[in-house]
Amino acid sequence: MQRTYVLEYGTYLRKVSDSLELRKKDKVLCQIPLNGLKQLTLVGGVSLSSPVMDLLARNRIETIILGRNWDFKARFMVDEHKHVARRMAQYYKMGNPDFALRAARVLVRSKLENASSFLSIRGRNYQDEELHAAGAKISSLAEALESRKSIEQVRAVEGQASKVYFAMFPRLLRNKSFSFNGRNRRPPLDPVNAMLSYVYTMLIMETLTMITAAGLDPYLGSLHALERGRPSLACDLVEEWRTFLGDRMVLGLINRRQLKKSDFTIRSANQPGKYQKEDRSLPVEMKKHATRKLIDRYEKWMATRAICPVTSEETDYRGLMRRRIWKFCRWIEGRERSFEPGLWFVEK
Amino acid sequence: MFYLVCFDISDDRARYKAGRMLKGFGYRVQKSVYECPNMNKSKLIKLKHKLEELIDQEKDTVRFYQLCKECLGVFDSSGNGEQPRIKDFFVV
Repeated sequence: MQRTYVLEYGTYLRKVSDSLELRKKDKVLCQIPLNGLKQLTLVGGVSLSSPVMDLLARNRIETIILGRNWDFKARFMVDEHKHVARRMAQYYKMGNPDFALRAARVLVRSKLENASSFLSIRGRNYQDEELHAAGAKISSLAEALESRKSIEQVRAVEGQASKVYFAMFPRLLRNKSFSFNGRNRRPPLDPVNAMLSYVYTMLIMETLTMITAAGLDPYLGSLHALERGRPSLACDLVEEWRTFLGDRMVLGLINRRQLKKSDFTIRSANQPGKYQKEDRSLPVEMKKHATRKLIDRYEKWMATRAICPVTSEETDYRGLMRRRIWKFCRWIEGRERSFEPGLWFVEK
Repeated sequence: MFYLVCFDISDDRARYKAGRMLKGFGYRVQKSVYECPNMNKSKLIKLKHKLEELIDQEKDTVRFYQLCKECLGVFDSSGNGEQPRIKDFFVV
C-alpha cells in the first residue's frame, strides 16, 4: 500500500514490529505493513505513539496531518540535508526580482492557457458560445502577461482571469442538484466549493512532497509572496494543475452523478442558529462515505495513464506533475535554458 | 511483485515471531498465509533471510509464491475473506 489515508475519528496508531496497527477503543481496525508504505495521511484526530513517530521518520514516510475539514495542520519533515547547492540556487534565483517575475509569468501563463483550452473544448462539446468566448478572453489575458512588469501586475491578471473562469463554472455543471455561485473558501460554503477545496488540498500536498523530494525549499516561491508557514512554491507550482487535474475531476464526479447532494451535510448561513462562524461547525461537510469515494476517485484519477506532451513518454498524471517539477528544478539550477508554459490539453 | 507466503512452523514462539515479522511486509489472510504486495527482489531476500534465521531447518517450511497480475485477476474465494489487496492506496 503506497498511500494510506486514515479518516476514522478517535483512532490511534501503534507500532507492532514492522507494521502499524490502527486501533479504536481496543479494537484493531486494520494493520498497515511498512513495506511499500510511502505516504500516510491522517485526517482529523488520529493519535500516534512516539515509537510510531520514530518508525515514520526512520522509514522516511511522508506523513501529513490534516484537520477535520482537510485543512492543512502539519507535516512530518525529515531533515533534508543533501541538496544544499540546489537550495542555494533557488534562494539566489528567486531572490532576483527579474527571475521571480519570469517564473510567475510562466506559471500564470500556463494556468491561463490551460483554463482557456479547457473552456473552449467544453464549449465546443456543449455547443455553448459563452464558454468559448470566455476561453478566448482568458487566452487574450494570457497574451497580455508578457507586457506586465511586476509581480503585482501578474497577480492582477491572474485575478481577472480567475473571475472570468469561475463565472463560467455554473455552465460546466450538468447536474441540476448542484449549484455554484462563485468560488469561496475558508470555509467553503457549498458542496462544489468544498470539493474543489478538498482536491486542491490534495494537489498541494502532492506538489509539496514532490518539491521536497526534488530538494527544493517549498516555502520560497514567486507568485505567492513570502508568508510565514505558507508553502509558496508548492502553491505556485500547483497553479497550472488546478484546471487540468482538480476542476476536471470535481466536474466529473458531479456530472457523472457519482456524488449526490445528500452526501453532504449542509448548514446554511441563512438559517440562523445553524451555522455560525464563531463555533467550529462548518457550513458544508462531506459525509464519510462520500469522502472515501472522493479519495478513491482521486487516486484512480492520478493514476490515469497519459503521454507527456513534451517528452512523449508514457506516464500517469502524477508522473506529469513530477516531470514538470524536475524541469523547474533544472531551470533553477541553470541546467536548462528556458521554462516554457506547459499546455496539458492535447487536442484530439 | 506480489508474493504469497505461507509457512508451517512447529515451535510456538518461532511461529509467533514469524507472523509478527510478516505483518511488516503484508497482510495476514489465513492463519499462516500472508499476502505481500509491493515486494521486490531485495525485500524478498531480506524476508527470506529473516525467516531462515527463525525456523528449524529440519522440521519447518516456508513457501513463497510469486503471483502475476493475470493470476490475481482470476482470484476466487469461498467463505468469508477479502480480495487480495492490489490497489496502491488504502482508505480507513
